[in-house]
Amino acid sequence: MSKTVRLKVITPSKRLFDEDVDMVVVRGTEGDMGVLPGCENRVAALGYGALRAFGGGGEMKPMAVLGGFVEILSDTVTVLSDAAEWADEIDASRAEAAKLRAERRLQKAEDGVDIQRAELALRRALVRIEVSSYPLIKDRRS
Amino acid sequence: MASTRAIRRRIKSVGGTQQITRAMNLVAASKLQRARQKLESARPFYQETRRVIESLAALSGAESPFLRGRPVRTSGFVVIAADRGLCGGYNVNVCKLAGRLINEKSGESESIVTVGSKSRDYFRRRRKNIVRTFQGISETPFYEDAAEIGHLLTDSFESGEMDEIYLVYTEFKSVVSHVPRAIKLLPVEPDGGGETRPQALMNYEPNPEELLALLIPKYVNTVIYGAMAEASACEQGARMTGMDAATKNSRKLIAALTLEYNRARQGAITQEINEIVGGANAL
Repeated sequence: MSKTVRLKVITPSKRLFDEDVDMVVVRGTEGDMGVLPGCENRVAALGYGALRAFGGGGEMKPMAVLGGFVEILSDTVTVLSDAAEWADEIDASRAEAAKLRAERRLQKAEDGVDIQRAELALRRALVRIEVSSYPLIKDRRS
Repeated sequence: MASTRAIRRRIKSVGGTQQITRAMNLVAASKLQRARQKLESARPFYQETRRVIESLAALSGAESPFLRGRPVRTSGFVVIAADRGLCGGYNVNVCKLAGRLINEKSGESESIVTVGSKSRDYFRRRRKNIVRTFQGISETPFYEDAAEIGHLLTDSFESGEMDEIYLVYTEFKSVVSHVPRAIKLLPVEPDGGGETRPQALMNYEPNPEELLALLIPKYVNTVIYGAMAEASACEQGARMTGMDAATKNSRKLIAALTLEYNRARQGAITQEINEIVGGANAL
């Protein structure tokens, strides 16, 4: 049994990540899920939230995953998401601006569709802000 | 024989056209590169999604309205073509295939969703029932555009406005080989062949039904995005080869016209000499 899990993160426009890691934590619709080597098989829907990939030597890479689903199959974790981005690619100030915009819209919106859209935008912004504030833990061995 | 001036003008005009076609050829070639990259990076997502859905449908035995066929009253068709012409038979081929399919399959009525103004024009001329058109997205497709179309389709399928949905697009085999294809989008028919290896245990979260209801719309979006990526690569490929042929043809035309021009010029000179000699002799 291998001691690592293969994490694949694929979005419609590109293959974002395809490497071995020690542990993955993803945000499912029902809550956070940690995946270690030898995890049972599972297909799960993903919510809006952080994905954390723990590499060798305590390294931790956070990523914002906005919906999608994950398939866990004999030591491979395949995350299929409409949109996902690494924490260091997130523009925190833009996300902050998006959050404010969405909140303003929520306060005065009346139409149902508008509210839904604004809520989604707000959730996206919140996830991005949360993820970008994670401390990036570098590989301690190096 | 045409006057030398007329021929000269003609040569100039063909030369002007040649410059345009050559430029279009070059532009299409570079756009093709980008479209192919996009296509390549879209494939893994599509393949993985398809695989998960099929195993989910096969293993869990979950029921979903998206998997079940029902009596067909209205058939939906999505036709992906280009916004612009000058790309050989690309638009016509895909529209013709769609037209045939529509005549064959549609039950009592058809609903057509067109992507690209060329397919819109084609079916509008034939007085087909177009429910929605999309323009300006077929050259460089984005996932968001595909998701919008997918949303529309899954909604219409769920509400019963469409009982089955076909997707007609052009598949990119190679730069010179583009094959118009039609696939059934909804209801989803698992291939079921060979690949469904029995997998003992699989957990689903939330339950399989809910998961399917969530996954299938995503799957539809993905298929549409993939088809749009294929189609945009085809469009550029077809335009590139078409414009290359046009450039070559204009080169031939210019050569022929130059020959004719020189003949006419020589003829005119000979005639002038003859006239002078004739005039001198008459004195």
